[in-house]
Amino acid sequence: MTGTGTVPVMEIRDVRRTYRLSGGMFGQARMLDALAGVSLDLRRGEVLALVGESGSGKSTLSRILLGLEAPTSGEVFLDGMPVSSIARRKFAARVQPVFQDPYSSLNPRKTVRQLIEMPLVIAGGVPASERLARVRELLDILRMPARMLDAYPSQMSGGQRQRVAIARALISRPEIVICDEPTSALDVSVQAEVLNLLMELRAEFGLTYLFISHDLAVVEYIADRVAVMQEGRIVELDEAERLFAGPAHDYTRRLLASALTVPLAT
Amino acid sequence: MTTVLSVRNLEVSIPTHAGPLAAVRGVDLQVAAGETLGIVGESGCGKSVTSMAVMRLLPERISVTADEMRLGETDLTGLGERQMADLRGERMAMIFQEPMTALNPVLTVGRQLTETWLRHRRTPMKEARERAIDLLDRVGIPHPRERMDVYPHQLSGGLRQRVMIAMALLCDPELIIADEPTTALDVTVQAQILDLLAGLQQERGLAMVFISHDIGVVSRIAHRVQVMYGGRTVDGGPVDDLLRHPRHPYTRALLSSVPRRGMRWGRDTLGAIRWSEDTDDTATRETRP
Repeated sequence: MTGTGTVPVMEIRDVRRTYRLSGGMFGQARMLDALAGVSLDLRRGEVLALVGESGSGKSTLSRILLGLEAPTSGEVFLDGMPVSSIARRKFAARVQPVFQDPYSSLNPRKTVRQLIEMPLVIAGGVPASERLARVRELLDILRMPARMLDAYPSQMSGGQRQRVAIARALISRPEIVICDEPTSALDVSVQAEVLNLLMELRAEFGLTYLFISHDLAVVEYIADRVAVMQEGRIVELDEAERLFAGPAHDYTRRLLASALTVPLAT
Repeated sequence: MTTVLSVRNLEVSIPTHAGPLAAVRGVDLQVAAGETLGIVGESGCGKSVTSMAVMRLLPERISVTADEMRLGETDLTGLGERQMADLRGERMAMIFQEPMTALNPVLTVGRQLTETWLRHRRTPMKEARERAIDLLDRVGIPHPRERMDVYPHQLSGGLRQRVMIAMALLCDPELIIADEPTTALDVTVQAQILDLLAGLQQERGLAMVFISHDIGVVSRIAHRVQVMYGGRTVDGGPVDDLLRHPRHPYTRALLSSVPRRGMRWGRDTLGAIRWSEDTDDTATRETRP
């Protein structure tokens, strides 16, 4: 197997998130429970996949784990410390995102070098020369030519942009990377390359991934454990191989039955 | 089987700052009644431009030529804009990826359906409404009569796509072109919509062109598949054949890059199509209409 530990690096305890929906001019405001009490451990070194359909709450959960949004109630712990007690910059250096759409997640007016070094600039304390050295090192690891340093996102393909987003996520040497549908906007051939790359980087940097995806074949390919979300709740959580071999929950079975993948040749 | 759509040697050329870009280079299409032709390829391969060229929906500055383009007995190359507009919606219809942008957000579902019908048929409004309600019912929309009065944003993505399908089928066309019709949908909804399309297609003996980047989806619905790359058809044939014996190296590479059920990293390897340092697909992408 992959030698993942069972030590939780991130713990989610009964997290709820409620949104207030306007009921129109005279209507009663309605409440929407985007997360209706989610508890989950992210173990050091694992790939934990979060699957579910639109509106299931998986992106809300990822935003809370990134500290971009506060839970209505409940608490998230990083290495046993409540996230709410950790300074924003310290937290950001340890937990980094890779978003779905590399067309909108990269500032079009910044160069590759500026984009990738930004987390270090924000964290402060790293001299420019070392920042550049680390950007170069990452470009090398991600198999991007050094001449890309001064390129703008508009001059790059989707796969190249997502590499820049991954480099930006890794430059502060985080422990956890939250990937929210990181390959959904990419062509399949590029997706394959990004997936393989993410898995190689995990070994190289000792990363822990929370990997959000609607694509079950992608999840089966890379995940150690899978959590299935439906209507703001986790309805099933299991080792990937067990879950794909015999899903326990009815909704998981429905998801698996709907997945259209290419039948294996031969 | 009668041939419904026949296209030979389609060429589409898009003017750019750097000179003309050949987006489609000699593509042939043959679709018979009751048959679904799948077109598969990655961004910029020319699959959408091909369908837009057939529907004549490309801007005028883009040059489209073909040795032959026929819908049934009708020679499409000889038709003027007005005559093409008469055909669209009547004998050939299109289903797009994102029904929220393809439907008019400020008109009710009923208004959009009846307008489409009355554009092509001289009937009283009452008959147009009955026809629209009947179609909404056929595409599996619950309470079709009440749904006539709602706006697109009041419907879920799956229901909106069903409205799009109802609108496409309204005038009993011979040919449907569906361009990534399920890409924006959740997997469970996608499966329902594919079943619906396949059922309607069989029932009505429609000729269908089904365009997708997802070879898994195409293999579920198409009888024959053409693989496009760089504006050309590089491979093709009956679905099972193509999956089992892909001839072209690109098809093999494409198939090996698709994650399949049962594959695990470490034990299996997804074959990434080698990404070259100098690949710059922005030129082709940004010229997509």
